[in-house]
Amino acid sequence: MDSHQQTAIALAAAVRDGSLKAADLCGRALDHAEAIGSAQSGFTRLLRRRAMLRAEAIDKLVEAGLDPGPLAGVPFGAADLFDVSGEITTAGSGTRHDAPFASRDATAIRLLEAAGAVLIGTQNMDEFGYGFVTINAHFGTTRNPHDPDRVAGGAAGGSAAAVATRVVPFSLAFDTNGSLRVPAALCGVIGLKPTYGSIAHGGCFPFVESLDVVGPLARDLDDLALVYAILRDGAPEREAGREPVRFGRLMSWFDDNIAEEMRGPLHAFWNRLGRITFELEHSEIARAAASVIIAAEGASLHRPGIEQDPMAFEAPVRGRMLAGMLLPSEDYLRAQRFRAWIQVRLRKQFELCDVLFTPAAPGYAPTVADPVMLFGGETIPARSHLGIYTQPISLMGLPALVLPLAGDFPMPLGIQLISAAGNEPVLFRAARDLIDQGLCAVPDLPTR
Amino acid sequence: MAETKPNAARPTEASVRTRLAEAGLAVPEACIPETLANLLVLQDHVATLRSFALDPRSASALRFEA
Repeated sequence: MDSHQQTAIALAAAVRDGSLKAADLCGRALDHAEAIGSAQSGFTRLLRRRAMLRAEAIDKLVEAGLDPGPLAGVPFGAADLFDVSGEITTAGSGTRHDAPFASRDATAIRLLEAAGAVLIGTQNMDEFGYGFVTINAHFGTTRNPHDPDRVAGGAAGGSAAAVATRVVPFSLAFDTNGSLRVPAALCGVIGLKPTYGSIAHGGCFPFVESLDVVGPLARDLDDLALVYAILRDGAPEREAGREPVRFGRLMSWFDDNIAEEMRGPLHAFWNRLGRITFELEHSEIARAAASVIIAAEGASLHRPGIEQDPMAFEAPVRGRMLAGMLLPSEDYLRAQRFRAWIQVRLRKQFELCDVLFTPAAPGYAPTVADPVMLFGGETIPARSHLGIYTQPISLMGLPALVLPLAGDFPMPLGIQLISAAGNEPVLFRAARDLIDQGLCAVPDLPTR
Repeated sequence: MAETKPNAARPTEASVRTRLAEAGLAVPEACIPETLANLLVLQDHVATLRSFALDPRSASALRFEA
């Protein structure tokens, strides 16, 4: 069995029936990560000893006739903001080199390992999650698996790269304002940002409490659904329903600033889905409100660190934090009030439509050498703007699933599917329909 | 009643220095240009937000349930 080509579900089945050793599987994943290096694998820390001990324990359970769980022996990685017992949670920042060791695993890691999965390492991210490029002055740049001269996207770029390069079948990541959706789109994998507040985030280094969500990335939709179900930890969920999914394309804000390479494929996709359009009023205000909330909460969280040693932070992050510290509290409260207001109005939108779709990112991944994009006809930094289509959805707290568009493109193009709060089941059903219709597919890596 | 002006005066390096000092933040001079650049972006977001007249009594700023 070529473990790099298999889904997590297939690998776990092989471990459970004894035809594959968890120790071999995890050892190969660790070797693969080491062989291609941190910039390609997305891993900045490998936990070989911990992983191999755990994998051997899984094999002993199988030998004893016991069931290690639905993810038996499956290796995975986690963005370096999830606590790992005995390790420093860096959150992608050099300022945390002297932070205390975590005393226990984050809740999400604990849940996945209780289901048999094996954590093999932690992954690169933008410093404190504040960026969309994973160009990190402390831990290096994560390269796009489809073209190493391009960014992986961020903030959880390492987590997406690890999945795209087939080091692991899934990663555990986070989403504040598009942190996992943007890299999923740029690296050509599937990512789920669950409904705000639906997944436990104990032991996850915070960034913006009002927006932070834990979510998975995977190459296979069924793997993603299984990991999501495990992360829900038995919480009740809506019925998926059986009626055909009603799709609608969001226009206005979500139709502006689309790169040329995205416009044609998106139009073709829309044609296949019936050319229904919707407006999501006040999306530009939602984006502005999200930016204000992030600036204020991020600045408040990191003020002690900035006061202690501002130069220890990356310059782009430091500048954003300091600007946030000068924001009047009235504007922060105004943003929060708008957030609550628009959420009530949104419920009506989903009476007419089950799944709204938008581009997940404007186009192909920008280059590492010159990470910029076009916005309003101007060239602006991708680090702070690649999430233009994900940010309003974060403010609204809605779940969103990113899928790669099917087609022979030089680089991946991702779409974002959005549903009503708490209706992740319809997102999974919609994604399955799109894959089965051949409209969406995870692209193979180019052969070099 | 005071009027909210969506487009407040644009910050400058001098005003950033003053405001950081007033906020009790002592930072090296190298931080001033990057703070100003980000503050200008933030001010655009604030102007967008303020342009939307929302009655403060129409929604809670302290509770959100998706």
